[in-house]
Amino acid sequence: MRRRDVIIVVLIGLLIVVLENGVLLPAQHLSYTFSLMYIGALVIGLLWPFQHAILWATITALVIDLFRIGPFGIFTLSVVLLVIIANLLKYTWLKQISGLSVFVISSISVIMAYGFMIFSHLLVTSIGLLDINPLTVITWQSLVVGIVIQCFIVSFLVRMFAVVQRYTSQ
Amino acid sequence: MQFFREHARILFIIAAIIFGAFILYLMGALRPLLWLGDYTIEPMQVGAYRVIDRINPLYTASDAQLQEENIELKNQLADTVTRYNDLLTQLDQYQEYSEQLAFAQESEYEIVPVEIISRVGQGVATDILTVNRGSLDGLKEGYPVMYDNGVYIGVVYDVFDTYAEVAIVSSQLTSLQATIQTDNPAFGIISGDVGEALTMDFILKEQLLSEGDVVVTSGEDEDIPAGLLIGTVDQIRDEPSELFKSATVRPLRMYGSHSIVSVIIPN
Repeated sequence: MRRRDVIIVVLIGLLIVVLENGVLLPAQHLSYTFSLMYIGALVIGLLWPFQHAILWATITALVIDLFRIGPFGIFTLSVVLLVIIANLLKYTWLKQISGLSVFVISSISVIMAYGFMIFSHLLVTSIGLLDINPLTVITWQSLVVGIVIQCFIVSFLVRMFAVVQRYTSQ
Repeated sequence: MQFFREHARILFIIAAIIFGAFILYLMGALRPLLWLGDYTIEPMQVGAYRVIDRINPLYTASDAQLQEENIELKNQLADTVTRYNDLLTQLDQYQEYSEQLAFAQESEYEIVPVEIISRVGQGVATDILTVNRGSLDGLKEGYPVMYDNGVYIGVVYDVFDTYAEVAIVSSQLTSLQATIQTDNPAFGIISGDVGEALTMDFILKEQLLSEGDVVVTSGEDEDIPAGLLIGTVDQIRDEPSELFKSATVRPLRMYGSHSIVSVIIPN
């Protein structure tokens, strides 16, 4: 991995942290239905080697998690789960980087990550660690729309970067 | 499974990082990062909130506007509570009056409903109620005032054009003839005693009476019909040296301010 790439992903990570917490967090609906971190983790997870991608995703997600409402760690674990599932699918099932396959991988991964988030929040609320479940501000319609938009963006970005990589490598 | 076996090392490192971060978070060691975030992220959050405030009407109000709205809502709430209490009072008055009206129709009395607007000398001998009807409404001195199903309160003591004063039964301003409802009715004179109690004097020695007997108006007084409830016998005094028996009577009246009572117009 080149030093330039490392600098770029670190900068992307910082940008995501700032945008996720500075812009999306104040808009509660957006922060729970549309995550730049999920998009970033999927794009980097699908384009980069798994070891680098998951390390980047974990550290970035931990920083974002510090500022999020709710118990510390849930968001990070959901991002780690997202990257693991995306890579598992990439390595075992959908090995080509086509728009459709990326969309399918992203959809399954994001749905699993959101499922984990919802389950975890319900769990911590039920055992009394959290007074009010912050996910109550979202509706299932907005969640579905958010997931679809995220997956489209991921598909587009992955395809775009794949094309760019191919041209630059030539 | 092969995927996990291949990446077991990095997965272990990730688990260690998350666990370590969690421990550091619990220890408070990540606070410097939060302070750093206050300087870097908070200004963006403020800007984002401002943008959202413009989009979402829920957040458009400034603190001052919210405070103003809060005060307005509190005033509205106070106004609503007051109106609710007024309505409850009116409902009570309506129920009181409907009972009195039913009693008056049954007894063939003509009544004028009046509202108690003030009470003078509460707890002392000269208890006077001011009611919101006067001579223009047909009230005259000496007319009896009742409450509930024929509970005697007192008599009209002084009448003005638009209001009147009622001397309540426990005041020492008036007295009336009463009957104790027993098999052999006992007669006596009711007058005010100390406080709320009443005294019934001039009861013949041979009259048998006991505590708890009901005392009603006898109908011997001008304008006061017979059978209005006054109270119940509380204590009986029968001194050998006295010519008559006497009794302490506990009045039945239970009314509050703004109660609706009725003045009985004699036929």
